[in-house]
Amino acid sequence: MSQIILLSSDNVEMKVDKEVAERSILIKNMLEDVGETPDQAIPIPNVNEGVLRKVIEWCEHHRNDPPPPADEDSDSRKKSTDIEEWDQKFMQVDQEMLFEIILAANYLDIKPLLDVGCKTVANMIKGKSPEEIRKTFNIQNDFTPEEEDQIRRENEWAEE
Amino acid sequence: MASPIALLPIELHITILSLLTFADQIRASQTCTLWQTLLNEAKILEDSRYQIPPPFFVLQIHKLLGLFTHRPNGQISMDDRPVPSGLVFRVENQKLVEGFYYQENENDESIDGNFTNLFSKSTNFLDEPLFKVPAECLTINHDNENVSINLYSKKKMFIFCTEWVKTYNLHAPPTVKELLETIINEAHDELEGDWGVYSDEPEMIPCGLDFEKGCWLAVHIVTDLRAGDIDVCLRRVEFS
Repeated sequence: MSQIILLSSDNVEMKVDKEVAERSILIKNMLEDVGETPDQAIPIPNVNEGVLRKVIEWCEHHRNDPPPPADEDSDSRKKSTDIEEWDQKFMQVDQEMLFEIILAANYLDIKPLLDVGCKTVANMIKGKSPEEIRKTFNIQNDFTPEEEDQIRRENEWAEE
Repeated sequence: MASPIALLPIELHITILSLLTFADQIRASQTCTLWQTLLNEAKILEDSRYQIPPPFFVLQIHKLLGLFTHRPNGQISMDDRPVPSGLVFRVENQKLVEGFYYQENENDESIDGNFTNLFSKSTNFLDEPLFKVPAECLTINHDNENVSINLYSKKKMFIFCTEWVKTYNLHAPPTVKELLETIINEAHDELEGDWGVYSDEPEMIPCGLDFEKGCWLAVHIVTDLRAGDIDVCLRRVEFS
């Protein structure tokens, strides 16, 4: 099994099976362009060591996954936020790491990992009030007092 | 501390917001201006307001007006009457003056009159088309004929129904507001203010419906998949 070396943004080298690294479409295309397995480390400038290790862990676990089904446009698939158990556990990280993983999956073009990440965030929003959502993600309430007032009036009505 | 979610590029915010249900999207739109803008202007909300129909049915119906239900015998059973969510609106002088989207509390057993989870007071959706025709479905089963759908006003459900038929061209659907006002006017003409409204019990409670003074109505749509009809069911609601 041929192996390649990835170089994180903070200059840490990691040896991974080529097959595992190729879960990333970015790396896969890069390797195809080069033609042969490179001896040099492949720099991944946007991803630091901690995040890259997490991403590789995910790719290792999912190395034998079949390609995603083609019916991506079907509504049930689009709206489903079910996440398989291993992935759920994998995503139990602090928020900074969660969003770093999502960004890395986006950059490295690992669609299934990106899906899992976005679903995880969506599930964190589900069923929460606007105030609870803000608290969860530390989102600043940037509505003007007038807009706030409008929202409050609507809520008062709803709580009658 | 900055919010880590702010690290994400816009397209990933859109991806995440698109995964939410309509009710969650409404709440998310109230958290910050970015999400409000994305949900309203990136058309995410609008798109999820239309239900993707089950197979063999050509229309996408405005979700605010209720759920699809499958009625193999053309009957609505009391048990699976589909009213977990819908639209409630206020009528004055036969005009629709405001509307709310509501979702019923899952833990609440009563079906009538409990609207604890009211969401948007925005009336933008009233001017949205009642249904959309997915382009790829247009030819299914219908050759090149103009396909019409029938909108029945089903008053006094289960006992009798007064029917009238409106025909709309598939390519020129009425807006939600047009549909509701049409129904209001028809109901007024036919019933002259006396209206039967069903309660949770399978018996009729007669009550006057005074359109001049104004009243609240809830509406949901039941779609008969086999006939391709859209039945509009109205009921009066009171807020205590």
